[in-house]
Amino acid sequence: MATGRLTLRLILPIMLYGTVVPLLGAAALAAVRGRTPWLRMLDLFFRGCGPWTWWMLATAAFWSLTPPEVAFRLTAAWRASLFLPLIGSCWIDYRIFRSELAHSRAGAAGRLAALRLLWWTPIAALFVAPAAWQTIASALGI
Amino acid sequence: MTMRRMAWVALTVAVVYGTITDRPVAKRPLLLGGYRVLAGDFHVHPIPFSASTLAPWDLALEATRQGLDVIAMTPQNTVLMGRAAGWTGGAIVIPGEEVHGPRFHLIVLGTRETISWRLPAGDAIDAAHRQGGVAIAAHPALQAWSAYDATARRKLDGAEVRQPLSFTPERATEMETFYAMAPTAAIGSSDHHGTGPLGVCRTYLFVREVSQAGVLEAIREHRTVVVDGARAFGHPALVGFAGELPPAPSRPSRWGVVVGLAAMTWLVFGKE
Repeated sequence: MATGRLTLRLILPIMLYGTVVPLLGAAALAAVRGRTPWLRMLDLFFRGCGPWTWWMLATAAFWSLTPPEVAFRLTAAWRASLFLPLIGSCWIDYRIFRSELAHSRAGAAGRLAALRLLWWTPIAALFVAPAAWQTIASALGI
Repeated sequence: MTMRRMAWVALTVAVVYGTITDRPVAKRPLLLGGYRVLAGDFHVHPIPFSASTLAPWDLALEATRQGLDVIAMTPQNTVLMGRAAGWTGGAIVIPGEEVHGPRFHLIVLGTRETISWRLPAGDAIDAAHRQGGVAIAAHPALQAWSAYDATARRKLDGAEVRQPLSFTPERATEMETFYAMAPTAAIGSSDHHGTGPLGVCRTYLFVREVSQAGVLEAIREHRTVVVDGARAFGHPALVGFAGELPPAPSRPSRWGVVVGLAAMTWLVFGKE
């Protein structure tokens, strides 16, 4: 994104690698959907991706249009901004479990937690496993 | 024409323009002081396992767009993927890793086996040397100093003196101080995770031969220069060439990105 070029040389591979995220999300969804029809569940699932899409568009604009020496100084703020889609998408998914799928509060929270665990654990493994393991092992003294 | 159709047309134009103008930087071989001069970036994270967006083969091609002759694949705590970079051509790619420990981060280049992050800095450097590689202190800001005692500092082949962390003046001063304490090769790196441009900070190497072995030899013998505006760091006999070194290519026009992002925003969130 920071190259400032919309070129197929970069767009195609990043699209390909990026598809793993919603695919893993869909797989996790299959495990928590209960009796809800698959296509309806998938449709609802993508509503929760809205905050992430906004964040990614904003991130692309920030890193492509801001000079690197300025952007890097704001890295901490950019990382902190991750909490906005994180909370927003969780809230939307919780509301879907509650309102659309009529789960109890505990049921909705449980399904949300299971969805995030099943979805994000393999993503974390794929993107940051070796460094994350060092951080966890060091913190736990393993 | 509907707004949606206009957005598709705008996005297509932006992508076609970006793809047509996407060319490697034309470079002439540069000879200075009897050495061939190469531009390198030795701290590059590929996908997977290393919090990035591009695979090694994509990065090797991207390097040629950023005027780089050589890059290093430095995934964290693994040497996986480093050797895959040669599949598509592009810049010289040196396999390695970032030894990502709790107290220090160390770039090792030219290694084939993963070095344990549990080792003290001096032992990790020794392990890199046993494999025929070189070791570079990664972003050695104040909090990492205690991991490098005097013996470990003497063993280092290089230290990052400029990298994105040094855009903050305090961190820049700390890295300069570490570099002055540990007489090593001056290294400029991008610590590329897919956000800032590859080679945003870079190292100029004065090599005898254009190869991985030639690059590693130049680092071992400290024949490097890092340029930051009017300042230059590196080998005393070579920093005088700083004014003759080619700068990073200027950023391409941003209109394609602006049009493309606006079109994508409309396509995703706009209403008919």
